[in-house]
Amino acid sequence: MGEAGAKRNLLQGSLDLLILRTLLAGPHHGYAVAKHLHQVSEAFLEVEEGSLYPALHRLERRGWVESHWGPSESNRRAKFYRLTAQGRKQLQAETTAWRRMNQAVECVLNYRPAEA
Amino acid sequence: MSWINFTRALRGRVSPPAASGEANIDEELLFHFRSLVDENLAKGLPADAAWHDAQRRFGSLGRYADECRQVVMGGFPMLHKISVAGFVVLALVVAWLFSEVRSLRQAAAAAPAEKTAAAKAAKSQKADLAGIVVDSAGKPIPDAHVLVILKTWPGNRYRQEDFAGKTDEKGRFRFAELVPAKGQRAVHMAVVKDGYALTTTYDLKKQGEAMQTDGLKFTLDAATKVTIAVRDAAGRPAGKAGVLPSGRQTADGQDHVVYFQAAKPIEMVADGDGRIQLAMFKRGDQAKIYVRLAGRDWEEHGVTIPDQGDMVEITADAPNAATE
Repeated sequence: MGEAGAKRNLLQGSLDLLILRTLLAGPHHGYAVAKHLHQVSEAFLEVEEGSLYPALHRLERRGWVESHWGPSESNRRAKFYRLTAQGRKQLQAETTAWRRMNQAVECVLNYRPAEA
Repeated sequence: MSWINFTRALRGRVSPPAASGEANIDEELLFHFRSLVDENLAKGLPADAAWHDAQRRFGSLGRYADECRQVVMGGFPMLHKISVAGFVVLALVVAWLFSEVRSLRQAAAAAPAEKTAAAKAAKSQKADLAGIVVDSAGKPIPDAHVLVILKTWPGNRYRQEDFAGKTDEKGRFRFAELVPAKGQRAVHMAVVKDGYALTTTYDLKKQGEAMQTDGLKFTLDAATKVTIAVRDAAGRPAGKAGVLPSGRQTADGQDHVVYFQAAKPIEMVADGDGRIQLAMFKRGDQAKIYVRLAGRDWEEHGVTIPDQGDMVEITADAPNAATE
């Protein structure tokens, strides 16, 4: 698998978590979420808009985020998403699950069979 | 014409004017796309290249809108047809923008003499917007902000422009050759001066209807001075928070609204304790105030204006810190 493929698969499994974590810092519109993930990951994470917006709408439908329209930094009307109380709980649960999964994978990767 | 203006105009032609979930999805995606174009323009790319690169990076507007609608509708099959209609609308948007970029480039390449002549011809058909601002005793109010939003529909497209000025020592203001004499047009005016209740007017005239644009008179009521205290989500004073009065509903139900697009000249900054004295509303008004914490976006808050000298607290919704 090439690097691009690795990036894509990583996101598919964790996009909701990354969005929720980004919104923990405050209301963001979709463009700002994508920019944030790109910058914070040192340009490793390229969020495709085709994944980002359906994910935002899905999170809103589940009640984990709520949205409102407001002026953006460029003075244009933009849709801002903000974390709900339910979303915060979900973020904590997903963060815990993600870290456990990470530890488990690390254990497997670091495993060295005992020498005979 | 700005992108948002265009989409509003387009929506006005192809669907009911009320903002629907459909239109919101379109507008949300268009905002993202336009931000990518802006990003490219800021890097110095020419308009065509900025557009094409954004299109390449963004991908399919129609497909994304379709996917969002399916999420919103929960995949309900009968409503899928609506999303197809949305796709058609987006395709029209893309086609129109492409032609808009092309026409802008052609206009830029036109001979300067031709442009000057055209500008003069256009100017000659515009009326001055002028008048006076006085207090309730009829005394002129100098140095008052006069914020203007001009709406026109040239070639059946919607255009919204903002202008700003101040009254002179005799309370007079004048915007030379501003309002088109013909065609449908609307003028929104906001007069803002500390010490007086912010006052706005809106005048829409259709083709053939006369509009009074000179000799306008604004009579401002004295305002109730209150202190606005801005706090962050943790309850801490938000020092140096931005504060922007954006509207008021009077006790008798009259609405006065400041367009955000025109409001830059009246932005204010709270002191180091997040406090600012405001005298732009009247006691009992339902006031709308934008606040902005450092590095955040503007948030609109509604407050009821208390008695003279009292304090109103506004808690910005932006979070204090990560909670891990």
